[in-house]
Amino acid sequence: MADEASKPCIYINHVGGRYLIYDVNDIAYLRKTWHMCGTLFGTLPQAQQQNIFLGLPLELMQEEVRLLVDQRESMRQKKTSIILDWIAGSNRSLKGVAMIVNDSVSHRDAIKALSETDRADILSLKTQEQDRLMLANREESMKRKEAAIENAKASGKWKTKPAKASESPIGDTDENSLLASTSDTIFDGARGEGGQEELASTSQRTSPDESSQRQYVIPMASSAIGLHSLRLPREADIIPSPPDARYQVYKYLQSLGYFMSPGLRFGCQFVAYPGDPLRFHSHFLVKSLQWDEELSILDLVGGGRLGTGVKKAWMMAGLKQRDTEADEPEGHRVRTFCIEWAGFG
Amino acid sequence: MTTAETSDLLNLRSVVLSNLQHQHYWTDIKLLDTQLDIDENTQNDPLPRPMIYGRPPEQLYNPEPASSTNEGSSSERPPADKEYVLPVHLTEKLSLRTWASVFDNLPTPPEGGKEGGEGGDANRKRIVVAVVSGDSTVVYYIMHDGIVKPRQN
Repeated sequence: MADEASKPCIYINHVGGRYLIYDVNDIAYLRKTWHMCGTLFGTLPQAQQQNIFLGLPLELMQEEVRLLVDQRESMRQKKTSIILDWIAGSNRSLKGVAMIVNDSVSHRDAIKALSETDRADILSLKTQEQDRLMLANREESMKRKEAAIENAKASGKWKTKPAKASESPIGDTDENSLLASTSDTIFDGARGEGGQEELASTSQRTSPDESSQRQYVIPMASSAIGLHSLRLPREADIIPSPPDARYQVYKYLQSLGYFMSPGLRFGCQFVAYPGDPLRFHSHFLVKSLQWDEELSILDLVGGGRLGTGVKKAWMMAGLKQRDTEADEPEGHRVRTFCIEWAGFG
Repeated sequence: MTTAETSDLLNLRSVVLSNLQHQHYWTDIKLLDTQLDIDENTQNDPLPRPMIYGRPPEQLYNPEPASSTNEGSSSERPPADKEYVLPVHLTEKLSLRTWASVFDNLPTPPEGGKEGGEGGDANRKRIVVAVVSGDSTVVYYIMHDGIVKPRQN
């Protein structure tokens, strides 16, 4: 996936009307190759208010999704071999850009399409991971116990229990029961024999075969379970159709290398950055219009005044309507005007 | 355009004209009318609206930061570029088509030949939009044709 030349088709998940990307590699690829940043909006459960720490998933604007899908269409038309590939159903081999996946439908289909062997595979993977986790946890708690004993010895609180030999049936040599009884002494002296037995039984449970004691794991995207892909999701036909004026302006500026992001923060449709937003301030606050759409002068004044106040220019742009049938290149058909305060008056 | 609308626009222009002359000290002012000032050299249509052509007291649009253009005494400074001013009223609504026709039909700058091009920026067309409100306040905005990086960025 890291190799750009063989970059396979990106899956854009359509969830509740939003277009989301869950794969970090896809996000890096989009940013590097397509100068699309999108908006991260996943919160941490511990810090939901701190939205500078937002993480996966990444939400794309409608225009971005549309552009990626359109790119793939044009690539497909160019190469017949790819078409054949695509018909054969091996979408992943298509060196295209993105395809939209209807998230809920593809989940349901994937579950339905699960064969018995798939099911067994997944189950065994899951079991393995759970066992691994259980053993790791146990080892860690043993270490903690030992450390606690060491601490107690060092601080002089350690006292050998005189009745230890008689209480423990296995004897002094058994490390586990030693640990059990000592931790008993330190942490829960009042509990006596019951607590000791319980701890001893815990330490003897080293075999992963005891499924009843297994810990349950919620699969994460990064775990082996998450990566075990089921079936190729089918392409959904939910291609976004943003308003044409917006999309044409977006496409034009995007083709010039601008990084476009949503414009809510500056009261416009897009904010255009001349390079990666991590390195550059934005230059333009973009408002798209239809060719004959009337714009109040007050909007122009407001945009110009706000833009100049934040060292940007306010831009109005739109697709030029052709009066004659003259053949102009597509890119030249978008007209842009940049407005700044004149510095007086 | 009806006669009434034209006279409205001419009145608007006279407000802007006196504001430029007496409040902002513009000089060399020439009025451009929709019918009379068609440039014979070009194939342009007449200007869609009456405009003003004049020279501000200081260079109006300076893409470079002030520090880098600080060269010697102010007496050696060349006169500021002349600008095209388009008067509009606050209550108007204009479409991209109108703005484009204003830019497309600007006369080619007469001093363009003798002063020589000042690099890429001089080739860019720009106008000054003078917005007049009901209380005769006039505010000025620079509008560029095409994508022009903001000054301070």
